[in-house]
Amino acid sequence: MLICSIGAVKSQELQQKGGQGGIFSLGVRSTFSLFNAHEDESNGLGLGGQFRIQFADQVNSDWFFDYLKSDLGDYASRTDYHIGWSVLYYPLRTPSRLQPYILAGHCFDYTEIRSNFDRDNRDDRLSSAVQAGLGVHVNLTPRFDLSFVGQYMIHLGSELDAHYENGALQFHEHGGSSMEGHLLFNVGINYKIADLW
Amino acid sequence: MVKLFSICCFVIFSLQAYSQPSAKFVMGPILKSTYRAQGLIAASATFSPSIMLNRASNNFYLSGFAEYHLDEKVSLRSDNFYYLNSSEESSFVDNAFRTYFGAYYHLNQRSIGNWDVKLGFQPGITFMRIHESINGEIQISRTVTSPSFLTSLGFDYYVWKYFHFFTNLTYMNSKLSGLISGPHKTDELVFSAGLGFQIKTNRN
Repeated sequence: MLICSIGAVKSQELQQKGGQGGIFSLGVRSTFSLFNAHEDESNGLGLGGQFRIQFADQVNSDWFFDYLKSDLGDYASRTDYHIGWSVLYYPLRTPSRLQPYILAGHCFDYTEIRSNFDRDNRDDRLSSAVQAGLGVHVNLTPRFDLSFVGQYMIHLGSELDAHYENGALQFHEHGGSSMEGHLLFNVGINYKIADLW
Repeated sequence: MVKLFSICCFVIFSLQAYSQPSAKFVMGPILKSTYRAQGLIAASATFSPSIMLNRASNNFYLSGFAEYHLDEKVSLRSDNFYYLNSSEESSFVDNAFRTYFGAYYHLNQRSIGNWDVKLGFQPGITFMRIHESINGEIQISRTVTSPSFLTSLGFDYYVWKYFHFFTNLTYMNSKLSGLISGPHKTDELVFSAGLGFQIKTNRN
């Protein structure tokens, strides 16, 4: 059904009304989180989606959602939900086959950790983050691109901690705030749907 | 599996070469093939064997795909894999369903006629239940949802306006988290082949 509904999208050349500003595109992506704050934490893998609205010839915006999972040793799992946006700046004026960019933006994050042994034993937190990085669009056709992004994301929020106390796994949300960073890599595909203005 | 895949490709290519009296007369009409064009919808289902890359286990899936060709270079495609069984008596996987959505880039826009050689990338999600060993006892785990992705190499041969033969070698990456027996990598290499169906939605 999804495929058929996409069939409604016209696949001819995009009718541009002027410059690159106003182009709306939609896509999906995979996210790889290389490290997190806990020493036992594994790399994470995520599934996500994004849409882009281009503001000007050299400025684009990326609005995304990611669902990531990772492990704390063999005793707990961590799930992260990211929702946020980034502004993309293209140093090259003319779009070419390879279109590098610099990005920076904001993100909101919901984190949940759960014991592997007792799924009711859990804790969660909300945090906000800023991210910055570098990326490149590989423009496979004028309307379709494959994008690679590397970015560093720093979360500001309370710290979630997991440790054993009296032989039982305990989760603690520490008071105050802490900075927690992780390196994220995205591989995504995007299709230009329309030129909005 | 890879060896078998290579042999199949070799045989198919060889048959194509030997079945024609002379490349000089044949290449013209083949190059003008327009089976694969913008607006084409293709779909099929088949049985697919797989190798689990992190343990000595082989699985069998009922796999299906639906694909929409945006143009000659790019198609959007969804692949789905439903676990049927394993070749082992005591299998690692108890039940699984993997679903993906992404795109394929088609390499032969002009040169190989009816052949379609393509590379795909699809983010997706895996639902899996396994047999886990807890204190020496084998138990069925809860169903775990994990983000996943696949990359795929495909060779299709279009034989008529409604049919094509397809082969796909697919690498699927995923990891099960939150189980008592600890995290488990569940990467698989899946081979799919069969008869595909296609229909043109754009008359131009």
